[in-house]
Amino acid sequence: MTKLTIAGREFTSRLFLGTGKFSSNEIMRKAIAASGTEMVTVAMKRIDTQNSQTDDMLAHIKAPGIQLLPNTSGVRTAEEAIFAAKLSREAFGTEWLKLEIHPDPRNLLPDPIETLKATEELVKLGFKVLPYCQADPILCKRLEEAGASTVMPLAAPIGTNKGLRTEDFLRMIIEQSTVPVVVDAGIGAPSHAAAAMEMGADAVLVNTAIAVATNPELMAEAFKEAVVTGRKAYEAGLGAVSDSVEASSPLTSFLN
Amino acid sequence: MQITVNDKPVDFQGVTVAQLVAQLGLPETGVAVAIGMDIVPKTEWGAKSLAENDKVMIIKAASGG
Repeated sequence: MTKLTIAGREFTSRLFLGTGKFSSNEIMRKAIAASGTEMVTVAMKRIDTQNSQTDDMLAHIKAPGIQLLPNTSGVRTAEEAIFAAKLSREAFGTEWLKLEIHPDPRNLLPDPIETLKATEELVKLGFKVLPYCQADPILCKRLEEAGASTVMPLAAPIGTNKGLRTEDFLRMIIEQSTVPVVVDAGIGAPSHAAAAMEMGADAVLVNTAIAVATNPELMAEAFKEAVVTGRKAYEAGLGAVSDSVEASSPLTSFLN
Repeated sequence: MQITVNDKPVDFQGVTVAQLVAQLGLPETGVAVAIGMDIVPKTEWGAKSLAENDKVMIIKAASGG
């Protein structure tokens, strides 16, 4: 399998993992290890001065070969996203950033206008911007032109596990894109991840489907295998789909 | 001195940002500090003094997708 290169860094694994919703840091750590991932997202929150600050979740993520991908979850505008990005650069010591601006908690859909504005500014400030966005080929082209390191179109609404609801548009984005396409949000089963990879997606980002599984560690392994299988199928070149039958055995009438 | 951290009053016993981070028992990694809207780079935590009534924002790493 070919390696994936994003912003000059090579990745062997094409499965990116989110760290939300795990029932414990230890289960999260095991799932990260089982997934073989080299890119792990992390969020930020305001500390609570009334409570103890002893849960150092970063200690459970940091490992050689793992790129931290801080996100801007919780911001509603480009201006807030830029402030959050600067905080994350200080907190995590990285310019890698999953830009996500979803102002409405009812649908968690990304604001395309603020996302584009923030991408333009953050690229100028030296960030490696990986924007979470609607599966809109026009928007993805604009993000690419603004200097985004990838585009991360959604497969379905966040956390719904519904799979590739935006398939037709994902195909257009993959066809046109000159930066890696990471299918993000809504991937609920290894078969969804495999399907995205067979289509030619460069990587997938999975969180809920693994974190809420009965056995997250085993599910992480299942996703790892599905992503590898899907990518291999893409690189091997799938046969054409046809409406007319075509025999795969010789049609000689040897019985009479 | 009295300051606020994330809009909550804090009775701060020290002078610098580094001392505030220590007083709150925070790890040095995965934490960022701003006074008002000005982010204080980690390299300046030891030298940056806080003033009475400063509004401090402190964020730290959390899980998320």
